[in-house]
Amino acid sequence: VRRKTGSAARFLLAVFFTVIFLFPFALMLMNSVKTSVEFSVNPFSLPTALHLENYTTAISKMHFFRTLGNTLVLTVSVALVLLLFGTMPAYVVSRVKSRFVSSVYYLMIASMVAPFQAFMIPLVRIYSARLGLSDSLVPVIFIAIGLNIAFSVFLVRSYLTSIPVEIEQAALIDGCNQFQLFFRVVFPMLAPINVTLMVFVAMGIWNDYLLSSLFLATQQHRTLAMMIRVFLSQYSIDYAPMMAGLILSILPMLLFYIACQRRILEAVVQGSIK
Amino acid sequence: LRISNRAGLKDRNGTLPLILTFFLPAVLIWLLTLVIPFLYGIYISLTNWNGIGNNFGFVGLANYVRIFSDKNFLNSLSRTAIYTAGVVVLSNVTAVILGKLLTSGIAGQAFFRTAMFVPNVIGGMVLGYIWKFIFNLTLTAAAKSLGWTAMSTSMLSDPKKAMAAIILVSSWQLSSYLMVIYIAGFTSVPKDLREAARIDGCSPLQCFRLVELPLVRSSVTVCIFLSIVRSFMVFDVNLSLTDGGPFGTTQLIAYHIYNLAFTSQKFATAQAEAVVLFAVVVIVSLVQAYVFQKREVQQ
Repeated sequence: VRRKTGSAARFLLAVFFTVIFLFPFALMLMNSVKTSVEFSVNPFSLPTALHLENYTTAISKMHFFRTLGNTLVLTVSVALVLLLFGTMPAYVVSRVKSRFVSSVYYLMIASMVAPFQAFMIPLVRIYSARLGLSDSLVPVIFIAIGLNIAFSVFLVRSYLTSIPVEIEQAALIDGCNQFQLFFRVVFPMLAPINVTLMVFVAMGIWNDYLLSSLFLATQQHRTLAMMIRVFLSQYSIDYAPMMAGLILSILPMLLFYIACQRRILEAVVQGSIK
Repeated sequence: LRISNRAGLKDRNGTLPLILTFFLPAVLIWLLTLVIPFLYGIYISLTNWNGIGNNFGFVGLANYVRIFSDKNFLNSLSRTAIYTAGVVVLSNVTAVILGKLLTSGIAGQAFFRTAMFVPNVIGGMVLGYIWKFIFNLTLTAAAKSLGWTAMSTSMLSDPKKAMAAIILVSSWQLSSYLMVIYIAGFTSVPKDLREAARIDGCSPLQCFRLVELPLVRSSVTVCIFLSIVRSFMVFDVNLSLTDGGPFGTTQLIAYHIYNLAFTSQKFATAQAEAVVLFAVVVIVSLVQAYVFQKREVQQ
């Protein structure tokens, strides 16, 4: 009997914590379909009617689909390039014995601890002032790739060391050259860790505000994290559309999470053991 | 360059082409976006560059001397230390409790894990705004209707409470992230070990403290390190939740550097502060690596 009450208590505690973690989103969602007046009078009241016009207002004021498109282009291009620029160097690091390669690799690992603030100002100076690459997604994509290379190589390398080289040896004997070997034999074997890598990188880029805000000045290039800030500071009395805007900016990531939640939780564990 | 093969692969074409095509392009991007900007940043911190134009001179360590007597900088550093201490303790204690709770075999364990992790898939910018609404509009409304006068003004308008609010929000998010790492740790503890300790007469609490906690030490180290580094670099939540206010009392170091550069146009001074922040993070990482290694040896 004591055991049963113990596990019931634990279950209730888990429910309590779940409420703590989720109630802010539930509140936003509920108030996003009420009117601003209803919200101000009582934020906890249930909606009496579905005021979906809040969403249409938010969509048009945030230029939601263009903004979503920008964020997608940024995230997908960084993730895809890192699929190659994470795996290829990792392959060299784990399979080629060269003092040059391993020294550069250790420097890369060391660079992972540096805070972004250490290169924020020089990056703006170099890419925006000197090279004139302001107000475009190009420098953001390029820099985001560069800042994620060390982590990507590190993650894939640790996976590669657990793959036996016998398979590769067999392929070499069968007449593969080094490049065929990588793309036809090694790369497919990396699928699990590549998914982890994509998920991890995509989450970071999608939610980034600071880097994008340094380079993207005009509205037509803004990402979701930037646009929600502009939207919320421009329309400061009409709360209900803001709630809708917040829900809209959460939605894509939430769907992504629901689709591959197990991968994401695994990625957290793999990505944090440095 | 020594070209041989650790794995013992028969080397047909030599490894030089492989290094040139597979390794160097990535290294080049890494150099262009990280190493060169970093070195250039150290140079900028030794000049009096104001962000506009190319007319600036070398001033040696003057910026560093100045920032260490600058109250605003020292205040934001100590504020960041307080914030970090708060977040590290709160998020790790919560995460250990959650990790233990969600490995205890209760019904719906997998669902609870998934649901609690949700705050971590959403960026700090959006989360900060959501909580700003909660603090400013919903909590105050709730307090008024319940007659709690102490809570009827927003936490974000009082300096001390605003700091507490940002610590709470950051810990709220971080704890469910760390929870996932602790879950992995607790899952790896063999079940018979716990049962053996029980049979030997351990109370549940003793069992946890003396048997399980030492075995998840590596998770603890990882989580503490992760929470320290993240807290030192926090920016998004700072910007959206409190905007550094009220009266700059919650302006943490990363936000302070950002403002100094892009609002006050004091780029060289801001860069010197950034270099100091870098040094602090490096020292923390070295201490962590040292402690971690020492513990590993002991085990």
